[in-house]
Amino acid sequence: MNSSTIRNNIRRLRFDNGQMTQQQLADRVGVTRQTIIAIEAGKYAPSLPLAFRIARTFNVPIEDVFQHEDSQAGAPQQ
Amino acid sequence: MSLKIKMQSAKLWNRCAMEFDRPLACAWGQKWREIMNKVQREAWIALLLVVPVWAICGQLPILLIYLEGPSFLHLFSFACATMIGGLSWLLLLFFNRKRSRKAKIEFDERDKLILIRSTLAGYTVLWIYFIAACIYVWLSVAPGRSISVNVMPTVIVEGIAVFIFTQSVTTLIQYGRGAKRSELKN
Repeated sequence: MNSSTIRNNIRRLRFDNGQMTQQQLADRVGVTRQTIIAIEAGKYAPSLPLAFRIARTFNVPIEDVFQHEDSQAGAPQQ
Repeated sequence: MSLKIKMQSAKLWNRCAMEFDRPLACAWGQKWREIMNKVQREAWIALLLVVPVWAICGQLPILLIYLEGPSFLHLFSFACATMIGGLSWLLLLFFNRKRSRKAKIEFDERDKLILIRSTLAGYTVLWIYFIAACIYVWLSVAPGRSISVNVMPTVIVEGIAVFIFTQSVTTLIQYGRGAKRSELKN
C-alpha cells in the first residue's frame, strides 16, 4: 500500500524571511493563521494555488517549499 | 494489534481534548478570536447554545399542545420556533456577508473543506436518525394501529437538533486534528 506525505519548509522559510509570523504569512497568502499552523504541522495539504502563493511570498520555487514523499508499506509486486 | 488500537485511540483522545479545552483557554483569558476560526466559534456556539435552546424551545410548544390541546397560541409559538430554528441560518449568512466586507480573512479553503465534510456527516446522521425513527415507530406500534400526531413534529424538531449537534462536533474534531498545543500558547 502506498502512503504519501507532503513535507514543507515553511517554518524555516518564515524565519529566513525576517522572522515572519504565522499571521503575517496568512495575511499575505489570504488564509487564516490556523490554516498556516495546520500546513506547517503537516496536517493539511494546501491546494495548488495556495501552494504557489506561499512559494511566491518567499520568492522561491514551489519545490523548495513543499516536497512530496512516497513511502511504500509492503513489498513491491513484480 | 491491540497496542496499535490503544495508540490510535490515545491519539484521537488527545486530538479531541486539544479541541475541547479551547473554551477553558478562553475562560483563562485568551482571546476568543485569536485562538479560533469563525467556523470553530460558530460550531462552539451551536454546540453549547443553539442545540440546547433549540431542543427545549422546539419541544415546549409540542408538549403544551400534547397537554392542553391545540390552540392558536400554541400553534403560533410552534410555527415561530420552527421558523426561527430552521431558517435562522439565513440571517447568519446575511450578517456574515455584511461583516466580511471589512473584516480580515476569516474563512479559507480549509474551512470550506471542513464545513463540507461536517455538513455531509450531519446529513448522514440525520438520515440514519429518520430511518431509525421510522423503524422504531413501526416496531413499537403495529402497522394496523395509529400513532400520536405529536410524534411527527417531535421527530422533525429533534432531527434538526441532531443535525446541528453532529455538524458542530465533526467540525470541532476536524479542527482538533489539525491543531497543535502551541496554537493555544501563541
